[in-house]
Amino acid sequence: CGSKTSEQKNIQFSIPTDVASLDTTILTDQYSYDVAGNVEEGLTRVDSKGNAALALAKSIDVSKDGLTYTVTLKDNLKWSNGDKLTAKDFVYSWKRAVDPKTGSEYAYLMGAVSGANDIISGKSSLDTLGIKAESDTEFTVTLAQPTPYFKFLLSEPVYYPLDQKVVDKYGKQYGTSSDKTVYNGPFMFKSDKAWTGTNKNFSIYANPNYYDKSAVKSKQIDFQVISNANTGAQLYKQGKLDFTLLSTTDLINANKKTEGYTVFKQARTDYIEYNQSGKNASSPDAQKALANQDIRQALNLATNRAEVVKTALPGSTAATSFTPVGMSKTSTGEDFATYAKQDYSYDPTKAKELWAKGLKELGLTKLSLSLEAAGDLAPSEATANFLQTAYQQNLPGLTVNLKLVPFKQRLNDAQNGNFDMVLSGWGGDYAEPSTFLQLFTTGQSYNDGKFSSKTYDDAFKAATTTPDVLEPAKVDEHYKAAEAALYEGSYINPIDFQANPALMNPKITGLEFHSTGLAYDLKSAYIK
Amino acid sequence: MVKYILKRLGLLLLTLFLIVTLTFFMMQVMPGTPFSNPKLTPDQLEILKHAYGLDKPLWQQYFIYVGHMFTGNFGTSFIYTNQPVITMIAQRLPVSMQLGTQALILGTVLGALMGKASARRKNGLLDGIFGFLSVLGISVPSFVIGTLILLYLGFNLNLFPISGWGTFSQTIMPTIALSFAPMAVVTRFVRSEMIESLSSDYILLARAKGLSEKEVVNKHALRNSLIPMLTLIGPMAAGLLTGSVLIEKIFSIPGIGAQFVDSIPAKDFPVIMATTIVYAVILMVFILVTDILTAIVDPRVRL
Repeated sequence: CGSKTSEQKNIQFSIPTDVASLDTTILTDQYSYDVAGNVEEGLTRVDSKGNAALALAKSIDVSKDGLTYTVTLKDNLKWSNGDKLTAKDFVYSWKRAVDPKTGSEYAYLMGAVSGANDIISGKSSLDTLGIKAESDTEFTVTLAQPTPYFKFLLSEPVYYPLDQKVVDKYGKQYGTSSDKTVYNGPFMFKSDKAWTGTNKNFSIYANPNYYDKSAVKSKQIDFQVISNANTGAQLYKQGKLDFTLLSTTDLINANKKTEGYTVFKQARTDYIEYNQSGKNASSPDAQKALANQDIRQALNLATNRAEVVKTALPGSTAATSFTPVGMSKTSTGEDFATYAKQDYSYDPTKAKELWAKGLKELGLTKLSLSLEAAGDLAPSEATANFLQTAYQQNLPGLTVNLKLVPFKQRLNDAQNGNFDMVLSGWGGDYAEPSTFLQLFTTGQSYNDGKFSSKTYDDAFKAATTTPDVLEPAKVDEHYKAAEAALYEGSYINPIDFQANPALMNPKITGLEFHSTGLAYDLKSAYIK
Repeated sequence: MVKYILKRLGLLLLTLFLIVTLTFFMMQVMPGTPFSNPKLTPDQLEILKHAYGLDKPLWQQYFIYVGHMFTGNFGTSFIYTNQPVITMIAQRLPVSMQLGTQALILGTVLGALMGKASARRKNGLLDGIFGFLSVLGISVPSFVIGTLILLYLGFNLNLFPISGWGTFSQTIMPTIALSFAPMAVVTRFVRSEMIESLSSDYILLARAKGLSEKEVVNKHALRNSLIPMLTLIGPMAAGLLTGSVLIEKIFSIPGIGAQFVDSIPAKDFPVIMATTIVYAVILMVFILVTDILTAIVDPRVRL
């Protein structure tokens, strides 16, 4: 480690888990994305202001009805192997992504493109996908419905182009190691310090074929996979690492004063879902109780979010809406979550009143509720522990039974509605509120609590369909109304907006963090 | 002997078949699917299951798997998308084996020397110290020792690189951490064997013949104590060579142990199956080889 060139020191970057794949159609985990997103690129790339700026595209023209996108590629685009990068590479890649045989977990992000959903579910052929190459540098895209955030989607890996020649050559092996992949991004892999599919030390190098190579400031960036966060922090202090994530409460608290301590706000919200389906709760009483708005409101008011964050989730911030802060902007440039903020406050007195009122309505004097959380995720367990005590203290007659299960079990139970209260988490895919607010429309499969609010449904529908979908100011209003409906009905209980505390060498300049999509954009990053 | 070996090989195959079958069906009891994205709707999950053949009836999946297994096809990983499991194991197993071998050699050699010294000065100061060390080695898990070594030799004294794999110096701390347990076991074993043999008649005879103390101890007592150690080292070696999960995690080593553990909560079926098979085969082969070696070294053992 610590290799140096004569004039410039390489950034020593660490990630906590192995890279799983470089195949941009099928990679699923954040850290594979963080590597792939720096060696590959799409039509757009999110810039420092959070806008979807043009990347491989020279221009993207949108028709008045918002349904047709005409894309012109930059001139003379090339892959790292010298192949020309053309419109066909997009047509090929997008079809590969929606092909059910490919088995891409992120294929659903292509749902905005006309025909995609039917192809994904095997109902129609690949030819019906709404993309057509007009020439080597131009293609048109037809959408299923107007999608104001489509330019953000275009920056996602499933939308990246692929060099068919190379994919055909390696078949299923494409992207399983760095020598079985071809690159079009700011960086690329070489045979020296390559990624073999399993190794934990590898490097990326500035790509000489990249169209914007003058903006790439590092010649080489070294990656290390360090699964033990304590080791990462120690290597940072020894000067052997320039970037490492802090993943445990203890480590975060111990490093708040360390030079370079930085908190990256994620587009992730932790929230409690209440089982309002009328079935599968732990008891008939629990079932009745969670259908009662006073009871739910009492639970929401008894949640001391600031204290949860302090005790269990250092770095995170108390939630004030479901859509997290720092993810997307309104048409006037304001942060959406700030604009749509609700009064999720801590008020134990009012909570007690409503609790007593609710119990009386139900003819109960005491109540047992279970709270399920993922025991294999440390912050989740800590949050659940805190809430159990806080609820029992604040709400007389309440017993909270903690149910700590593996993450996959929690997911299963939530989806099948087998819970009273479950601590869930959601991360955004793109920088627009619908990536969060789509969850709770009636009958949506992520609406684990199975509640139904007409106000919410109407607001969401108005925001995402014509005519209002084409007017950004109205979209903002409708989304805000949806947030208000969630709050008024106490349908869910947003706890916190997650953050990634990290240690980052203060000499690193130009590293862009994004709360959705590519988290760490190293394109212009270098050590001063 | 040949008949015995053939019989044992037959039993080995039968055991392997049972392990494959049990593991296969036990995996199905775990919740969830191998698809890690919580955003997939039930419909989308069904489409993915179909793409990977996971929607077929269980018995069909089982026969398909066993069929492929016989042709040497262990499938591809779900987490490390499309990576052939065989390649993954081929890349990771040698790493674990190197670490295990180093720890085994270090542990056995140190253990034998410490055991010998203890036996020669039974109840002496050195015996006390070594006795204490071996109790520590047996009772303190390797990850605690690993963390302590990491803290003192790595963090505080900065003697060795604290993570990664590739250079010999990176293997030193994990080797020491892993060698504690075999060292402790061997020390105790050699000590008690030697104390026993030092008081036996043939030692008395050797001494009576006028052999030097060094010769008596090294040529007669120690050598005789090492034979039964074979039975001890066999299974221990199998355990060490198949990778230490926690040590691999602590020192960021790309071995097979860490991968095996990660594959379980992720429900990465092909990886779980193939790794289980590799583990089982290694363990059974080592036990078999140990038995055969014991018979060769000690003619009193009849197979």
